[in-house]
Amino acid sequence: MQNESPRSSDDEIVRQVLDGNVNAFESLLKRHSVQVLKIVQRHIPHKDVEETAQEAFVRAYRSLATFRGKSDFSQWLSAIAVRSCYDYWRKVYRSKEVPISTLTERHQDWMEAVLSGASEESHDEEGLQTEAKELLDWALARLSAEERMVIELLYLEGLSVKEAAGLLGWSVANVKVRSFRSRKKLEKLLRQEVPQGRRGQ
Amino acid sequence: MKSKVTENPSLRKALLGAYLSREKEGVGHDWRLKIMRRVREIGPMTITGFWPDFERVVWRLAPVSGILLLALALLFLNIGSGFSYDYLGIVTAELDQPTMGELLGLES
Repeated sequence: MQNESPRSSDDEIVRQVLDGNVNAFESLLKRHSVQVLKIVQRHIPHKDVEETAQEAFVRAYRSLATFRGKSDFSQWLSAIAVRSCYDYWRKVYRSKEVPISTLTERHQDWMEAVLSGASEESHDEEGLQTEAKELLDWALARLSAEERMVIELLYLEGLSVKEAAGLLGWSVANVKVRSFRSRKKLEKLLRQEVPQGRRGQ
Repeated sequence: MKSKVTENPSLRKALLGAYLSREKEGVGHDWRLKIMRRVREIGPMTITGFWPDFERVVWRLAPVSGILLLALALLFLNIGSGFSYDYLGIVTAELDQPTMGELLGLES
């Protein structure tokens, strides 16, 4: 059995795996687990992170033969992780299992404070994050799986349309259209929650 | 002009902070072991390309192609003896029938 040296490149390890050395995959797993886990944690609810991350790696293993080495392995793996997250949401939305939370006056007050720029002085960071998390979950639950992914990648992570298209495996035009629609929908959702006095400012 | 709520820097910063904070939640220690267990269950992966794929398709179609060849060979063997007589029959039958010119009295 061949053994991979600590300095083996990803391409070399991939070659070893494809030559039948299944255990060599563990090196790729160790090298890229943090990266994949971070991607999955951002997109998926905590309870399903482990399973989705596992799914992403198993999917990567199954399609290892299609990795041609044209792009960086970590980039290729990131795309698989993002697509696994997208598939997760498609499944959840199809089964209508998306938890729909409701916003309270507390969230509206928080939004008003944030929009006026007063929140940073009046709230502690932990409290600020709780409101923000709830608001974010509330808004994202009202979007489709496609819109959710586009909002997260473009609006929140700040990726370019081309980068998001590469990760999702969609065309640039498709991402642009979805981005426009989802931003419009998010704007409408948040605007509804902004107290009257703050609108248009 | 009405400014967009989604473009408000403070709100965007807060939402981004909430989004990135998800990364901090931990996962179980054995998740990598579980992956390797699944990978080992799948077994070794082999390279696929045009020729290995082509070879696989050829072997998959081999029995069907064999049966088809046998059936065609049998068909041709059965047709073989009577075929020339049938063809001659068609030609002579057509010669027996009067042409349109003969019917109209234009040809003798």
